[in-house]
Amino acid sequence: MPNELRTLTVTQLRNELTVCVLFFNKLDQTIACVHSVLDAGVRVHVLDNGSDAEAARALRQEFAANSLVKILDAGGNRGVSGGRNLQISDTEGSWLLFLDNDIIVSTRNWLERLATWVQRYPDADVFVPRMFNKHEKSWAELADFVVDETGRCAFGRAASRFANSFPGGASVINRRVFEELGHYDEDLFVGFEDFELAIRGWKGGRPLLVRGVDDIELIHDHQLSEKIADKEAATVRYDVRRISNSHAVIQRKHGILLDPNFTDWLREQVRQLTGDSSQGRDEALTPMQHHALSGTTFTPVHVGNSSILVLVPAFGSGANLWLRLRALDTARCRAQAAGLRVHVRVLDDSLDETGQRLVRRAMSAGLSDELASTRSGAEAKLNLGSFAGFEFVCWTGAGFLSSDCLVRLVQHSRFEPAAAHGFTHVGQTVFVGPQGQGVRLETETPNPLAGPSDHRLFPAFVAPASVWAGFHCSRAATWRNKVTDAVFAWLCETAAHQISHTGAPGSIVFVPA
Amino acid sequence: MALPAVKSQVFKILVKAYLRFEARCLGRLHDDYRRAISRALLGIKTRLFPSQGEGGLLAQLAQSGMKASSFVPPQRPSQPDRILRVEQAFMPDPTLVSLHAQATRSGRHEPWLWLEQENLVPILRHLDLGAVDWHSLPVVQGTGSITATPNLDTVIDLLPDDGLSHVFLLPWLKPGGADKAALCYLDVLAARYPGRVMAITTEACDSPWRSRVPRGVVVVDWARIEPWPDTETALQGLLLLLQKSHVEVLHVMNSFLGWELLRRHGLRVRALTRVFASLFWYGPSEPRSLRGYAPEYLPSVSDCLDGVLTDNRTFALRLCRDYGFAQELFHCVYHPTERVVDLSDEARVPEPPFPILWASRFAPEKRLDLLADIAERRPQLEFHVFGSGGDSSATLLPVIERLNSLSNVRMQGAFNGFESLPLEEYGLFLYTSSSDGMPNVVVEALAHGLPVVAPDVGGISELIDAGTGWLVSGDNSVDAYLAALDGALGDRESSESRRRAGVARVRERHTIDVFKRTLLGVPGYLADTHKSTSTAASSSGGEAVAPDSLRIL
Repeated sequence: MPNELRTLTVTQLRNELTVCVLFFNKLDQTIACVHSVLDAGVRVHVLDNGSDAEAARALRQEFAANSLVKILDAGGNRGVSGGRNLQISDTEGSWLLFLDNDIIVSTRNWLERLATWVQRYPDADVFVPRMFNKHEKSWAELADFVVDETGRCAFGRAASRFANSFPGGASVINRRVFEELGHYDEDLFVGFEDFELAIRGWKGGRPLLVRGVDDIELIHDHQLSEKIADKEAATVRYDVRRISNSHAVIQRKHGILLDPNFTDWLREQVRQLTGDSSQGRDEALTPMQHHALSGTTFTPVHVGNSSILVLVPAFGSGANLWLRLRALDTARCRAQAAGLRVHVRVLDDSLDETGQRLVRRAMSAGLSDELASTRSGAEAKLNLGSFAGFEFVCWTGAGFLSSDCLVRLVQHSRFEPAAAHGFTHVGQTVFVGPQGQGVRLETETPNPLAGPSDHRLFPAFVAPASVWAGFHCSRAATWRNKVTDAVFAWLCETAAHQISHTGAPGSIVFVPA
Repeated sequence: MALPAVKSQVFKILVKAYLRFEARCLGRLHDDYRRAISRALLGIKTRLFPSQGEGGLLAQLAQSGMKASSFVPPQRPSQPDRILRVEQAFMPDPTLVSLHAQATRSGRHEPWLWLEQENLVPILRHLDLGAVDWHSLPVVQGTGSITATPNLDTVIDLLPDDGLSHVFLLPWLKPGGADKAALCYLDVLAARYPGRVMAITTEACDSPWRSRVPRGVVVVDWARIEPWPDTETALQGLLLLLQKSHVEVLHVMNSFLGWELLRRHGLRVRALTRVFASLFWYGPSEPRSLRGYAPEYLPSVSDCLDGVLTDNRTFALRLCRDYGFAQELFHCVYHPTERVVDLSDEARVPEPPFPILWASRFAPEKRLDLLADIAERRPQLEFHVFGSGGDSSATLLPVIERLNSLSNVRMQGAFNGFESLPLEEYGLFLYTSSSDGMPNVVVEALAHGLPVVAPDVGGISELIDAGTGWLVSGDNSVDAYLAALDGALGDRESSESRRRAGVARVRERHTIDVFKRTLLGVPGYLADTHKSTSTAASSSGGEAVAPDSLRIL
């Protein structure tokens, strides 16, 4: 059951959580990393993944008296995948906080905060705290991976606070992820092992649900290494051949092609860590390769198995209706790929004969599943048809839904607690006139009672079917003849009664003026 | 006060200030400035208020001495509203989250937006809109909230907990028929819903009849509370007030702002409350046009009304005929008069010759020119004219001068309600308007036992006919008026019988009791009486009185 408020105390989380740190040199930072989490009283699992012997001894000595810190020896460098797999196998409890050893947790009461997040988002697989890259003086961004028709893949800033990928060295991961998808692929020695896991989730029909954590901060610092062992660790971590191998494995295994133009970035990382800019210069001679996404792109989004009824009111001769249904069809395909069952019901509010013929053709073409009349009398607006069997109901007014609109709306409605018992509107509406002039309206908290009286301001929204059941009992439904007006008045009524109206980030509707 | 408490208070004030700043200004700044300011504020928060605003219930418990780590959250309650409250309690501090978001939010160029645009291009190109770069469009922050000014906040704070029963939107409260009617409505409702009735005067002018508003009614001078920077802003404030007051019935009576509210936000307003409007007749109009709230607003807002109250049946029928409205929309509620003479106790009208009374507001449609013509043609009769007009137009001044120049016309000046006139001096009331609904002065004249000569305009014929007075038909003909006057003055017996019938008719339709019964019978006009009972009981030991503090607004 999504959005179920499950009880989780801080004590319970403390018992269920293990902090996992891979120790491959960088002793001082590793010690700082472990100390940064120990105040919370959590268990820390440090795996010596091929560190220098002296550094390993020093680390053991540092935490010898602390029973919460467990230090194991991997017997050499088993790579990121191999090391983390060992930690997964060697720990218990539902949650694993993987921290790279050059990261510290800077938020004082992070465990209490994390308990709140876990409780609020019980369906999330991974939580990603906010991370400040000290060496770049910038915040890392929560990222979605996107693929195009040819299998090219890119990462971009996530459209919302939910994402489909996570940074493996700075995330809190639910153990069920590894139980369902398996452990990290050890063919990937270093780099993209977390991404490969995310792809596995997507290919298995269940993209990961990753939630950004807004109030826990990590600090990631590429400190200049003084010790030779640390410098060597940097060259191993950012080794072009190893990263290239990871790319190749992912391409071979999943047909996904990552951007091969990464040598400059690797060299910069090595320079930051070692102060040596000559490393990897040979690889830099490799010519840049074309890697732009082209054609239709696809962002895997987790919405869970569910069903949604899409209501499409239609008037007159159905101007633009065919194109609107085509846009909706794209959104529907995305939703179906994400596991949603989608049923499109066109509402004949005042269609003329031409319009009705058009809807019938749309049904033949598979763009619509049903035509329902809402104009057969005084109570016509009540004739929206049955909501039985659907978990969500979506209203689409004027405009063209973007391809991810439906999935983003449902994801927000399903997993954001604030939206669970209310209305989820599109986060943005693009109004464009015939000459290309227009505006982009951002509505993070839409209020039907505010702004101009234009139904196009509420071009699409989703609410759970249980909320929609209230429409039939609403006052608005009893006095307004046109179904569109009745629905809008109902929105106002609900807003006045403090029922939540939120905008779903990442969803957008295009409305020709 | 202890330092932590002071710190907590200061933090609360700063949070409030920040939220206002964020709502009004922050979003408009350049991304770089926005981030810089937010980061600075975050720094202040972290350094000076490290333990404030640290996340809902846990922090509150920690502050109260309970160790957060040992706190066990309550089990999920079964009622949906409790679920929401518990969830909110576990939310991170929203101000902090918002600050973080502002501080780290990147620029406007978002990859997902570009991808969504590209994915929609195959469809948009059929509309020749595929080339529009969505990123290049100006970004408008959405319709998030309606913000209340401090004055409006004060009004909202004073609202009764169980909501208002009725809100009246009136232009003002000045001496006049419609204003008198409005006071009658308020009287009836204040008695029934004490403390839950609000009258909002929307125009920026004095309301001398404000003192007549019954106790139990909150009077709000909107122009003072919310000066109109523009109509839309004023309407947003009204909308917010309606939302916050949980009003059950909104009644618009002659208020421009009220009709504009219905025209622009009618759908929203009717979603919040039941909506009624009063209409009396078409406004005075040029020959080739029609003015007034009825022709200019009603066709576009009729869908947003639960009912239209008229003070005569004729206008309702006329509107149905002119525009095709459903008759069920209209409800005729005759306006009452406070006193109807008992002819058995009252002295008869004085013996002729007696002066003839003319009393009304000075306005072009009241046809003072017609009165002057009549007076000129009947120099043997004396006419006493009561009234004034603050907006005497250039066309009216010559007529007033002409009346002043006539030896048989005495201009008596303004009057404050019909009952203030020296009625015992007069034996006939003359009314010469060319446009009216059911004029209050005609009702009052009949109620005070005066024979009446009045034109057949608006709904006057419902009151005055050959049995109850002298109805002047025809197109404002002086001859027709003269014939009616001659008839009224020449036949004492008929005059007496007609005035008796007139009084009887007024008693039948225009008493307070009849008004109250009719008004309360209008479908949907009553509010929830359960609430009213509880308010009455809680207001002052069961006495139906509104707190005085509400009357000063």
